[in-house]
Amino acid sequence: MFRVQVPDQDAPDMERAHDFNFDLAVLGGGSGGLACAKEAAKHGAKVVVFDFVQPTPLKTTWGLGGTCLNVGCIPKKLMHTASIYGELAEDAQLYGWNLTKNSHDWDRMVGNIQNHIKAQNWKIRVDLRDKNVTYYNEYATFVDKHTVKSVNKRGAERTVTADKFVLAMGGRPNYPDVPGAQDYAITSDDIFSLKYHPGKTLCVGASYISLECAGFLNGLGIDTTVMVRSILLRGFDKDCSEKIGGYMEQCGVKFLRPCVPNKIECVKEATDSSAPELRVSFTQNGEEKSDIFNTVLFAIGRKPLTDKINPGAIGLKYDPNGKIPVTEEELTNVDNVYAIGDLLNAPELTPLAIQSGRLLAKRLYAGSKILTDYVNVPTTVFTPLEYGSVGLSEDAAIAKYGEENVEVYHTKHTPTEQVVREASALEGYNYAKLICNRADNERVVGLHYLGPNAGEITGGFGLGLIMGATKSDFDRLVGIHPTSSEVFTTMNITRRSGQSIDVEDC
Amino acid sequence: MRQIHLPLARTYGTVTECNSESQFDEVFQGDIPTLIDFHADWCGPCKILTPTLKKVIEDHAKEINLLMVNVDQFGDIAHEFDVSAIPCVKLVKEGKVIDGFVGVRTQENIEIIVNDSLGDA
Repeated sequence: MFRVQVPDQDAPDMERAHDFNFDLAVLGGGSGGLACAKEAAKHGAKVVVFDFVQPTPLKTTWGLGGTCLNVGCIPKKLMHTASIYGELAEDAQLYGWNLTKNSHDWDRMVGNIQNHIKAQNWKIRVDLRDKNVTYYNEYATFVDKHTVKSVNKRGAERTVTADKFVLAMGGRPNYPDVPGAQDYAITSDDIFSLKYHPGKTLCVGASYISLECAGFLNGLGIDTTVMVRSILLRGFDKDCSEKIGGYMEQCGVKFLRPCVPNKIECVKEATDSSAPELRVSFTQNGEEKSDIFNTVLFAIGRKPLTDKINPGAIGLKYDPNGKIPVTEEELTNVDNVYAIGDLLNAPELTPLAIQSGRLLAKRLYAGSKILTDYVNVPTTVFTPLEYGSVGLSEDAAIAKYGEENVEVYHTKHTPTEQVVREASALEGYNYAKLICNRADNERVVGLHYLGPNAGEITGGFGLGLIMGATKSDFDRLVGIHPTSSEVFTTMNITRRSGQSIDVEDC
Repeated sequence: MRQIHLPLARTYGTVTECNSESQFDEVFQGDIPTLIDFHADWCGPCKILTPTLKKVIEDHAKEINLLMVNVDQFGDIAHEFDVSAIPCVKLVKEGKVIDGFVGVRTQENIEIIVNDSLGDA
């Protein structure tokens, strides 16, 4: 029932070659889905977006915008920033500021972060409306390759047909098969809006999510432990991953490794304003142990929501882990169904999802032929020691080009702002390397940076890699002084030479 | 369970937080002019404007009410009324939007708007 006059949204369009309700239906209102929907609408397509968040076991839920905005990149970066400010407040004393040693107010931080997120949820809704994209806060599942059935939170159902579909539902955190995990533990879905101070926290997992969360929690003055089954940051450069772990240990994060959890029991229930007391039993180095924590956060991996949209109804092919194989045009095995974002076997990154969503919409509705380039996508891990990288890890380069062809230029460095600090074990972790292919003019195939402002630095240098920069191009570039980024313009020590890379004062 | 809607009592100067779409409909269609305050918890300026609106309602000689509508809870209604930036206030009566404004205003300013719209000085 419309109270205000609105244009008839079902008016037939003479140019359409079909009579489905919509040209395009997007399942998932996250980074990829929204970018795709808006771009498609821009080129005249009639588009609908379905977005629905199933609450967590703790009943946490959130609004339109997907993982990144609500329970990913955005609140993560803000909490990481909060913890960095604590560090900077310490440094500020060295620069002459007289600051009283303050404690951290968890509720105030969460309140301000959530206010920002909710304002963005609203802006997105308005933006979709302004761009003529229909939005249903409903859970859609397939009936056949042109039909979905959707349900809202009150159980009301609707059937919608569309010519084409884009799957962009992303994923959700995994829970382990450990007694008590679903009853008492949380995940990244819950931490960013946690209504009580987390207290003594155990982060289970060696993923970037686990390390980033442990990193900022520790930085906010919280007693933090990380439980790791084997290696840190699987898939990332090994050398850099171990440096990240080493730095975190120096910062006071405790590591239990190698270690797996066996059981979580509740000693004292959570209340609205306080965390529970949980007894976690685990096996460390073959020994059975246990300890009490207030919060247990599982970050052991994420699963795509592929099996939740009734893929059998359309015969969708997907891997056992939920990832959907697609062509370079993001087409699945169903000829009118595409998939983008975290559903794919590709880096799970917002800008990549946005890029692929937009380019897909342009190919479908604007006659474009441009494909998304999944190679040399820069990324940054926002652990206490930030890590930016683009291109191959050292091991991947060696595997691809052979050890004799891989030349690694590397160096430690000291961020200028930190020179006022007293000498400490933290210094030696700041590091940078260029991985070059000797067989191709020393083409830079991997760039890695450990230190402050990693995202700001790596983002710019990514351009060099996609344009095929060589080591001599990096040498030709004159750095800006005094910054951390200039470290890439004066590298001359190779790993092969065995020379020391310890920093000397300049 | 059949819901029975009692007509709103003819009281003026009331401040109500909207709790259902049907309640909104009754106010919108009703014959008492009502300022609809579209707001949200995360909106700083809304927290400044709302007390001012309440003062307008209290002090106003004319018979008007205030209905507060949280856009996070009633997004569909907000969209039907073309609300994008908030705080957004609409003066409504008998199924029509008579006037409105966006952003923080002074009490005097709001009273001028209300008086002009309702026809008397």
